[in-house]
Amino acid sequence: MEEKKVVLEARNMKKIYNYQTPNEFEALHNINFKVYEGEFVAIMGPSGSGKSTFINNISTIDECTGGNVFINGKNVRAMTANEIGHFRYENLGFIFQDFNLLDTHTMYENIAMPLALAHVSKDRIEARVNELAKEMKIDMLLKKYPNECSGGQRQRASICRALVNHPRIIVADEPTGNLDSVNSSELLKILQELNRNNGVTIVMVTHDALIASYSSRLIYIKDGNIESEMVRGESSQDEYFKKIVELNSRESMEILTK
Amino acid sequence: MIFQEALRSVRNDLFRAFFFWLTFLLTTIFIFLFFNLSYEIGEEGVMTIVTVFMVIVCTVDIFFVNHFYMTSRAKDLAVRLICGATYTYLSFYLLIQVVFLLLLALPAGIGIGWALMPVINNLLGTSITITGDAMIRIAVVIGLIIFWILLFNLSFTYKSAAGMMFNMQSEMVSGKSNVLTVRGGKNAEKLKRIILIPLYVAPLLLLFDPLKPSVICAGFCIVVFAMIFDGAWVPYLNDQMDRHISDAFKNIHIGFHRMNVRYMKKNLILVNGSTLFVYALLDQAGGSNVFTVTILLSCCMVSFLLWFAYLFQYTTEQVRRGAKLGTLLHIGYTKEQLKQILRKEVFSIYGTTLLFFTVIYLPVTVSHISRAAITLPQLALVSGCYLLPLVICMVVSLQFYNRVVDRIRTVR
Repeated sequence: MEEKKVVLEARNMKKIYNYQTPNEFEALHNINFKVYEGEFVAIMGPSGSGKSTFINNISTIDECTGGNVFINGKNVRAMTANEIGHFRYENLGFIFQDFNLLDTHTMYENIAMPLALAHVSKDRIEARVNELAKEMKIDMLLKKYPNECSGGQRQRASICRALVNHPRIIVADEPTGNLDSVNSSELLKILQELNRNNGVTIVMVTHDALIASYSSRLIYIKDGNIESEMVRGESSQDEYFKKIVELNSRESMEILTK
Repeated sequence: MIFQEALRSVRNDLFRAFFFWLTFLLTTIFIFLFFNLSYEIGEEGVMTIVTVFMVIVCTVDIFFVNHFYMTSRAKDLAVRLICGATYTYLSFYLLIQVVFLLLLALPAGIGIGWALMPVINNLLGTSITITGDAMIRIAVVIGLIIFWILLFNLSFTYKSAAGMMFNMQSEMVSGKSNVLTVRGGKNAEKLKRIILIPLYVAPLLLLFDPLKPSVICAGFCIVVFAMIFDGAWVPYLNDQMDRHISDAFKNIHIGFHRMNVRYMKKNLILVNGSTLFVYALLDQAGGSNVFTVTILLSCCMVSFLLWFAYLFQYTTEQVRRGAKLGTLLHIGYTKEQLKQILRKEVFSIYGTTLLFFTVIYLPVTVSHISRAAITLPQLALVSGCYLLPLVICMVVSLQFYNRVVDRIRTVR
């Protein structure tokens, strides 16, 4: 049986805020976690559980206080600032809740940024950006500024930017948080297709059970620990969604009965 | 309770409060010196124009700074509104802050102005004294400015809904983008640029006619300068962006520079236009030393006041932009690379402003020298009073950006 490649691994990962000060707070406790190539992993948990801290630390946005993070076999903590920069635009694509597009640049210029860092020529940039924009149905908006576009359109541009360099891993932090239900559903279908058809590995934080049901594996984080894990397997999305809701309810009941 | 809350609000945002206070202080010093000086000259035609112009510039400057101080309070006001504060409460809350800063600035401004009078008399050979009539005029002008500010602030709290105020700070750069709207296509855009740049310098030909006052030529140039922003400057930057889209450094700093040009347009027109307009009036002094000193003083104060208002607005934009700089780090830039890009951006905007100023300043200076309207020490004073605040603002902007980048929480 073919062994799946580990693309992302956290070993004994710990995150302490305000380290060595009176306000020290341990947000993540010795997390051990692996993501295999081609997986679509959803990270769920109650507010303040450490989901965003977790995803920030495994995706090089933040630096863990203890332990190590390996992406495609490389230890992130051992990299210099320049190496991390290179590493990000070669391997990672980020999608955020609030889109994080620069309003000083047009949609075209925002999407092209990672390609400029990768020293891609102007013609290839134009071809790649237009190709992606057409796929995401925002090709008519490329000359507009983000503040002239709707939330859904901005999020599509954000996805284009995340994909433009053919990243191996997409990291999404509440990508549907600022979208209506129609746009949310469309966005998740896009991510699901990318995962199934293009083999892109996706790690996504969400608090929404329905959004999480698009994944192939669910990690439930609580109080800085991985509380439970669920694999979709052969279940339909409906069945998987019900299991997630059950898990959420169980966790909520535990809090209520304490 | 409301008094303590208002003062706490001032203390929590010392940076903006300081700039607001500094603007009041400089405006008070200037109005004090200007009206005492100009009182000696009396109501001559050109002096009336200068007086009206100065009052307008001071009022507009205070309004700019007040507007930014208020919009920075928008979220604070919105939170109080949704907690149940009344319109009266909010009005008093704002009034206390503004009056407090005014009360700190007014006596200090008058004191410093009074202390500067013997220095100016010694340096420039004038004999200005404080007169009762001049003080009445000063009181009226300052009173009018304060009245309009308070009225503006009251209407701000009255008409602004909580939801609007929550979003106000993040939407300070708003409005439809017209930078890529070209009527008639790329050729029309190129033609516009080809016409506008020579049109900016063409009025300088009027300087060859000794009968024509320099202020007419400066006035034309200022009008064209206002048209250059959308007609030539931004389209040029759009072209540069197209050309350098694949350059990871240039595409960022060109984008930031382009936004600066759009966002700071009013400030740039005001600082260059006002300084040049007043400076150009020097050849109307007709040999009167007091008149010359009044114009020189006006030139210097206008430059200082408006550059500081520019800095105030620019740092507000820098703070807002700082929130987005983290995005560039996530894409793959390092902090050092960001600092390099931002340094380039700061040099670009200040450098280009200086260039536009110099293109008009130099020929007008040559004209003044040929008409014996200015001496070399006076020239050094005016040049210094434009360059010094520009350099201070540039250094402060650079330091501020470095701090903003250093504060971004990310890996290295």
